[in-house]
Amino acid sequence: MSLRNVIIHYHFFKNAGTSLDHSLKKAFPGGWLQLETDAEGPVTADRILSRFREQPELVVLSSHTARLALPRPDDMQIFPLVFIRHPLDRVLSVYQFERRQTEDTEGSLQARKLELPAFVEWRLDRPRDHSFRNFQVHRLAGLADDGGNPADPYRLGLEGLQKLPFVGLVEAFDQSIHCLQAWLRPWFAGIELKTVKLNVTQAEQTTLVERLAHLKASLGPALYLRLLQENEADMQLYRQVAAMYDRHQIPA
Amino acid sequence: MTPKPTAQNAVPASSGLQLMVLNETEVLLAGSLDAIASDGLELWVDGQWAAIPLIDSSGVSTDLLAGLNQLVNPGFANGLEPWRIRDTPADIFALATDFSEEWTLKGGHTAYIYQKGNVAREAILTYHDPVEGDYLSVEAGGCYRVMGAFGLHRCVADLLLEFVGAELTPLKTERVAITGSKLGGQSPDDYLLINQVIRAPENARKVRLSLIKQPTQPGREHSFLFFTRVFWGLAPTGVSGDGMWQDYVSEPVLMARLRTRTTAGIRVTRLELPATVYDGHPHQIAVINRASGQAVDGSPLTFHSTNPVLGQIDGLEGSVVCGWARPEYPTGIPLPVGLWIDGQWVLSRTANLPHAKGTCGFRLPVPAEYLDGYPHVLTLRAPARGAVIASCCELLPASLTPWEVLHANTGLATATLASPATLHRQQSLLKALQAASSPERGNPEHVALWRERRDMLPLLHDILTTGFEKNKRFPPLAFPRHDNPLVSVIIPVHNKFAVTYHCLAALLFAYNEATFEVILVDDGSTDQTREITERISGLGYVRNPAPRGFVDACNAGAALATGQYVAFLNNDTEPTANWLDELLYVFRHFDQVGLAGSKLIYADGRLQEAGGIVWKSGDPWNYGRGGNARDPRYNYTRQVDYLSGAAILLPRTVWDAVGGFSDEFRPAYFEDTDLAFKVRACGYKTVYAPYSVVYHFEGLSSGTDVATGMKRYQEINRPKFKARWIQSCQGNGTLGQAVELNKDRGVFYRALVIDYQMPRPDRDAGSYAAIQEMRLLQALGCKISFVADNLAWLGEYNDRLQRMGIEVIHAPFVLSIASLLEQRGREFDLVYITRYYVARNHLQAVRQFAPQAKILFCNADLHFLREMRAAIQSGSQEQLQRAESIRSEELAIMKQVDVTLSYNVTEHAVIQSHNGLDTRVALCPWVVDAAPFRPLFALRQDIAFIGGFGHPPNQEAVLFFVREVMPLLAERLPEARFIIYGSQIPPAIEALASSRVVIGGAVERVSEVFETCRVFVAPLQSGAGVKGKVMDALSYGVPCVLSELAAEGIQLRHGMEALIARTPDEWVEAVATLYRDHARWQQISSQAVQFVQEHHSFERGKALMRQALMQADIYPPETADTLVFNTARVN
Repeated sequence: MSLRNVIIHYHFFKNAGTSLDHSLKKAFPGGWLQLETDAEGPVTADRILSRFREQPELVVLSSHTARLALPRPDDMQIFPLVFIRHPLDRVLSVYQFERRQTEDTEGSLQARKLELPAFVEWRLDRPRDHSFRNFQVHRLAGLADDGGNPADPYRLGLEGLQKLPFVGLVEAFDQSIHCLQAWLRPWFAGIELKTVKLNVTQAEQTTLVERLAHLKASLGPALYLRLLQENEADMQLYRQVAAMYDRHQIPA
Repeated sequence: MTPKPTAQNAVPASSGLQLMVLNETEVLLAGSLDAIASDGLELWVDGQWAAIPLIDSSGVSTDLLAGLNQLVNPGFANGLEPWRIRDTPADIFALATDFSEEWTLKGGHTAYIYQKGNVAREAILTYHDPVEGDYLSVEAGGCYRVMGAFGLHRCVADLLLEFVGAELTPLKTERVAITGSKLGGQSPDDYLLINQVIRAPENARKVRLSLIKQPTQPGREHSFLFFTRVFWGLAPTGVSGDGMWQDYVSEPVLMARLRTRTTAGIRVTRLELPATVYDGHPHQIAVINRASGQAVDGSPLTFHSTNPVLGQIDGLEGSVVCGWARPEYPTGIPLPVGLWIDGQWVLSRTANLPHAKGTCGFRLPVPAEYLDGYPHVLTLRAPARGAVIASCCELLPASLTPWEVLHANTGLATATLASPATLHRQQSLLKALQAASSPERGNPEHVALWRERRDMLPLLHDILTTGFEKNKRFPPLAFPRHDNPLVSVIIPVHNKFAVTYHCLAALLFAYNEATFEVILVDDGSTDQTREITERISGLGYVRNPAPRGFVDACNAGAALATGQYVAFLNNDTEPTANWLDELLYVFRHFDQVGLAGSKLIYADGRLQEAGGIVWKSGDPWNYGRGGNARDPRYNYTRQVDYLSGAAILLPRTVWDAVGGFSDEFRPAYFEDTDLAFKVRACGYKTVYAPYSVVYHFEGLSSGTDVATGMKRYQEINRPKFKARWIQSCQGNGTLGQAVELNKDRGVFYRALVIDYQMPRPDRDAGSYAAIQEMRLLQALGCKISFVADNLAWLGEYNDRLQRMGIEVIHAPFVLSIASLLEQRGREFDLVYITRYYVARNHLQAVRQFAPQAKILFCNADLHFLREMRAAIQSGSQEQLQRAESIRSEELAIMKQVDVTLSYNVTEHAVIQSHNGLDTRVALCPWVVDAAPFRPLFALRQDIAFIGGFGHPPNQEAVLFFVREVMPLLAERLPEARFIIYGSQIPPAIEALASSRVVIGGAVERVSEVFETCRVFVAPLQSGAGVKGKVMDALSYGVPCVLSELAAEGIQLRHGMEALIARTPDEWVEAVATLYRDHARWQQISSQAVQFVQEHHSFERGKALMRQALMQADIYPPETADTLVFNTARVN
């Protein structure tokens, strides 16, 4: 008996997930669903699986809040999707997004009230706030064998990452989509993923180098340095994945 | 005496290779286009490896025929064959050779035509080629030389050359009259020498050669025509033809094919022989196919040149090549010599000038076309295409004006070209431009920095090439501010603003990856230095109102440093590209390093210092002063007693721990020597980093006279230094003695490693293994000196090894392994030789010149086992015999060495079953570093194989996979392609290319394969040893599907660390499972990595290598202080 093939998109906030979801919706019309923590509770692996079982037409489930996990049910084959990004480049995106947010989340309220440096400081000063502190490593560490309380967050994040079959890189979005499509194709016959970028909060034409220079200028050297230091593990992880995409050259 | 070819010349087989004597100076190799590959052949002389032959890749050319005698039996050694008498009743004449001793050329033969009585008939003798018959093909319009030696008795004669066109239509007849009074005899001088150049008509196709003996002169009886040494061939450019006659004749069928250009499918190439074979003695010449170890057909052939010529190229004087040449036995006649450059004849002169060797000197002006400033190969030959007398490689100058003069008298552009620093500056420029155009995903700050600096580079370059001596303009410069610099570069200065400005410009110009800040300590300057921050922004700056000396200045600068490392740089320096990166490299790649220093060179390119020695007496010594900066002795990473403070780097923590430069040595001198001793006293190593190059305009800052000025503190501080450290110097040797041994510190044993070539770990697994074994020996206390059998310098491959702390000895600094052993044999505690044919070549010399050394022999793989398996597979009796002969040789070597190392336990059993107790066998460790990071499943695609195709089992494996497995796999995995990586891919493999089979070719790094493929296959059907590619794949966590043979010697379990397949169906199942099933892939990948971590770690390898050494009675220290390169892969 062939297994049912389903995709879970672990949507890391401000990591080009909206663009990816757009592609997936187009690829699977009527087969896409977003599920977030709500009154029913957190988005656990069990909750995701039961949702798939309840809705046979469902192919993709996308979630910002699902805990990253790799469930191995008997009746389904799961294709987990994660994208990562330069951790500092996320910062400005998050801030700009939060400022435009209409929902009154804590972050959004602060963003509307504070200038960027103050907003960053506010985030960094809260000890358990990971949104600007090794955010990605923190999410991935959930997959590592010993989980939780990381002595070396980078190792833990890396260990988690190594368990995934796929990771996309926002800075290599088109290439990522290309790899993703090649991987999925044997199971999702004829799948075509379009690389439209949506929910882009930063001017497309600026380069990463320019955006970081702008961030540094906005934050001032001391805060910028602090941000770098607080994201050391995320930076290492980003460099690894970037190097992986650099090396990923398909022979002609 | 004429040389005698003794080999039976035969037609080259279409598949194999054939070796033949071509003429007195060269042998010729003919065979199929595929079979001749320049890196696959070796030239052997008298059973000894002699050279890698240079193969002329152009194939057949007119030049190949030039100077070649096209006639068979030209010295009449085999009677008159193939000359035939034409249109004449034979009974009138007698035709034969060697009439009597009196009328026969001594040491040769003489043919004759004898006419009885007086009959008015001419005798026409026509040359009848064994292949082409009466008519020989000619080059239309070609210049031919016809020659012969004749004796006439009562008659005259003619040489008749009848040129014909298509369908033998007569075109032109040339008649060369033979008249004169020479009668022939025993000496060449007794003969009339005919030597003429004749041009074939433009539409000529063929020629008929005849010798016409005219009738006996009227009134006389009994006429004779004696003749010998006949020649017909294309006249080479610029050669007179004197002495060009040669008895060697190439095989007639081949010659005919060359003449008629019907050489499709074969290639013919001249092999130049080493000069040593022209010594008048017979030599056995053989060409060996390196991959198979087999000699090509026709090998060995006897090569006997009876015309020995001695001589030498002394070198260049300006643009004139000077030297001497003469025949070994003086003849009283000066020798004509020819100069050839890059294989082209250039000019000929007579060696008759005064020389230390007698009146046999020559001066050969190099023509303008070669004076281009680049290296060229100069070859000196005896006349014509004569014996190679000497050969060398020289830079032929484009200008004879010394750099100093140019610099003082010319503009920028000219001085730039000639400056020794130009290469370093160009390197910087190139790297800077590359960094500035890096992709977005590179380190963004680094990219931004070089994009910003790009516009400044021309200005900085101008400043450097102008030089501080001439520079009058000091435009503003800006250093970038880093929030978190890796290095703080501290520059103490006292006046000499222009010098400091030059140094700062160089710091901005020199490409480095490392981020750094510059802290300038102005030690009481009174010149423009006081306003330096107005011109140069971004500097850290501190000023002592009055000068306090180097010690205080450096300590004050360090107090302001924010970097993780502190570097000290004199202001009279020009640091070059990567000078900081190379210093940091030492800290990254060796453990417990506390201090590193640069290679210091003078402005003219000579070495100033390559680390320093402090002798037992406590006196320091600049090692290498005035030496050649390129000499291998100065170019490997090593521990030293001290590093000159002109350019050093240490971690901030170490600097703090030792308390900086000691106050006792204020104001200056000996503080750097003291620092190195303090760093070592804290348990760190002090290391010389030769690839960090800094020009040091020494003496500018404080003069060189020790009696006056600041320099007098040198003598004041010396006793202080000795009093403090004399105890630490006890083992350091006597002042000035055994300098070469005392330059290396932290060395317990000295090992000489000999392999067949420079390791190229990106090309073959054997190279990778060689590097690991050297690392293991390092870890067990050895300093490694490496020498490749061919002594070749190979650019970055040498650099990599030398950075690892391995002394790489290469030509021209050493000209043979035997001479190396003769000079330095006594130095080595052990000699580690890889591959039996390398051992065979050098064992005797090792035992003779290094009798104290133990010999460890690593067999790489058991050659005879590999050959035997191939023979069994092919069923070839011949191959089997070859395997047997290799077996005797290989096993004999193992009995002569102290310990034999082999990677594969199966091979141990085989060796011991043959050699019993005569051979001590040890397991040779195979070390791999498990990849810390592995690209994910979905980011990989395709099925890969990698292997050097010079190694026959690889080809066989690929053919099996493509023919047997791929067709079945096409249905299961339509998306997967099979990618074949490797060097020397033969046409048979190229031909497999299709939409699903891709020829990936050679890769620079194996990571390109193992980080991109999803499944690795090793479908090997024969071979031996350990499969390096499999070990690599495991270490990169790439799930493998292996044949049983590929898994041999690695203790892998099917289904755990890899899948093992036998039948094509099993192959398909295994590959398809791993390709599609992420969970299975992930499991095998992790277990493979765990496996190499457990069984093939460096620590495990060290234990095995220790056992091997102990078997040879060498006991490594428990803890060694040696430098050990700490990663398996070298970049």
